[in-house]
Amino acid sequence: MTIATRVFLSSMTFGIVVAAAYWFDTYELVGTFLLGLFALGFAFVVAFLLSVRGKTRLEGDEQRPPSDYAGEQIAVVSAESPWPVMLAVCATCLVVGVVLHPMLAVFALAAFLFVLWQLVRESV
Amino acid sequence: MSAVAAAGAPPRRLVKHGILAWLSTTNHKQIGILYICTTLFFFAIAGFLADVIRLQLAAPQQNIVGAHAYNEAFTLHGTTMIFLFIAPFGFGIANYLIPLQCGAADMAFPRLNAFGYWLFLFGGLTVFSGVFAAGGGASAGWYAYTPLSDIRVSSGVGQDLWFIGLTLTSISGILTAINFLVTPIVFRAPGMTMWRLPVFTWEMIATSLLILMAFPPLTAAFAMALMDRHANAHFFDPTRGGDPVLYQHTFWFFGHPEVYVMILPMFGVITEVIAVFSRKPVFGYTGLVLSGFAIAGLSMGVWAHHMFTTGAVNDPFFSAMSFLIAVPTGIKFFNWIGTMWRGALSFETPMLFAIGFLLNFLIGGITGVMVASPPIDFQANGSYFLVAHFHYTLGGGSMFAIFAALYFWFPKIWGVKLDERWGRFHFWTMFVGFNMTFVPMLFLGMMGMPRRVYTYPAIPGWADLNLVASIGTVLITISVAAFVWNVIVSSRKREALPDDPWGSAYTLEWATSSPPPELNFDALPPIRSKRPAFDLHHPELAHTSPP
Repeated sequence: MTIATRVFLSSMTFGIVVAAAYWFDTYELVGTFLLGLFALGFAFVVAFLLSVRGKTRLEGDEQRPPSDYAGEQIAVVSAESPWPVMLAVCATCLVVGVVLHPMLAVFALAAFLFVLWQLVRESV
Repeated sequence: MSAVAAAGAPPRRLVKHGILAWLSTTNHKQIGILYICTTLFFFAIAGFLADVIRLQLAAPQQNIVGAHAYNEAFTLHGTTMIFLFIAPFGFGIANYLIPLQCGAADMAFPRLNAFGYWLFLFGGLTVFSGVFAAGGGASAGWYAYTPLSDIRVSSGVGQDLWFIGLTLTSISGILTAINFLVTPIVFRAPGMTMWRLPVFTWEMIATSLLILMAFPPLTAAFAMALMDRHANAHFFDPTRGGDPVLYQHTFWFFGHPEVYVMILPMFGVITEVIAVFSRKPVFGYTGLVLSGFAIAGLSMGVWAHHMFTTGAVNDPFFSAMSFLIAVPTGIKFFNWIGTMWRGALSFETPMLFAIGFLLNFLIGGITGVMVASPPIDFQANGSYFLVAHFHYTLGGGSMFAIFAALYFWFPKIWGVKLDERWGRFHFWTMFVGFNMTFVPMLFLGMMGMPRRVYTYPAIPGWADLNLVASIGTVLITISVAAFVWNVIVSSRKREALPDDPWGSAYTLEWATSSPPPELNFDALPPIRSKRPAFDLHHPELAHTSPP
């Protein structure tokens, strides 16, 4: 089991223990629900990491020499893109519009979807 | 497909210079710089608001600013320091450092990273735009309890914009945390095993887990508050079956972990600084890493110690959990002192700020243990004692660590080493000013002065202590001005710096040029221990590095 998996597994176990202790000590729903979500979130990550075990290089104890990695992708570098800042402008206008001005929300939603499409198109 | 292998050709740059290059950047170093500069801008605003608050309170029965303006000032001061300065400064420095410390060329999701920054910036501007709206900015305090923040009490658009802006920054934090979590797990360089990662990166992993667990409830709380205000919902309205304590639960389920979102990155900073200026490997590396996770885990179970006085929570449970946090924090203190023990200490400005951090945070921690006890909290809650306590943890702790980080990594980020004389002046004025401001508040709290009052009667003892606190704030302002002057003066004296201008730095970012090239490393050094840069620059001592 990788170190990353152990980190998430420990966090999940801690969440379950605290949620159980909190419930049996208080019988209070809101806190138990939130602590339960805390454990559940980590459970999803643990399940994912276990499902890809052996299929990726997510190992925590590599001792191979650097030459073994020749040609292997160790990071991605993205070209500059105007879409993230435009998506943030649209998201801000969308939320402000939903709360304060429905017409702004309509235009912002259309722009948001367009920019999101451009961003996805650029990324694949 | 614009993603390329790190070892391949750099990506095509359509715009190399000017504002368009910054607007369209997805490079982690530029985004880190944007975060750092933006948060320092917000810090200047928060500092100005603090000066307004202390000017108003310098003497009893003053009316320099009215009650509403005072409420706006302390609301926006707290909001800015917590949501727009301390926590996102950690994101900025982590954005710059995590790929460098892992040996990667960039973050795992560069566009998501850029989107997170812009969402943070627009969120912050949205919060402040409320100041120009009819009715003024938000004035319900930084935690915006209902019914103070509901439509009947806070009817202005300023409160709406506050909720909207912070919802955006909260989403930004979640997106950023995903990058901080994935990058060190997936994109480490050959030889950089998890147990060789710098403590700073480990602390950011723990911080990211906290963000992913704690920020969604905040977003939910704010969404419910906005629905209460505009969609005739009644989540928090007790007259229609709602429950204002529900808001407190969801807010503090975020609010207390947020304290550690602000402080855990700073624990990482302090660890790196102390080890470099003690010229020793980190003492108790594993203990430091695991104690960070213990703090993160325990902090998820202490939210309602902020709600002892509601009478609606289980005091013993939350008190016990709060006391427990002192244990891993004590382990960290032990390890920091152990790192310094018998080291070849030198006291450059980053080290001075690190030691200032230790002293201030110790007071914050001890007063924290005191208010974790419900009988004391019932007395201290709502008093200046609490104000002093959290300023010692976040101001004396995080702010000092932030300046330690700035002085320490300034040469790496901007290729300029800040002037030592101005740095020392900055440290001492800030250290004296900070303690002059907040020691009196501890006593004012014990004498019963309530927080969040815009004026106070001439009760014996209160006026003198408040005046001392206000003079201390002037000193802090002078110290920050000295930092700005230091940056200007030092930038004019720019000279070429080596990879490691401190001479004994050890983490991987010090193995590349200052500032680093676009893809971070022209050539990665062999990573055979926890101190790859030290091994590279001092091969004769490489055998002393822990594996």
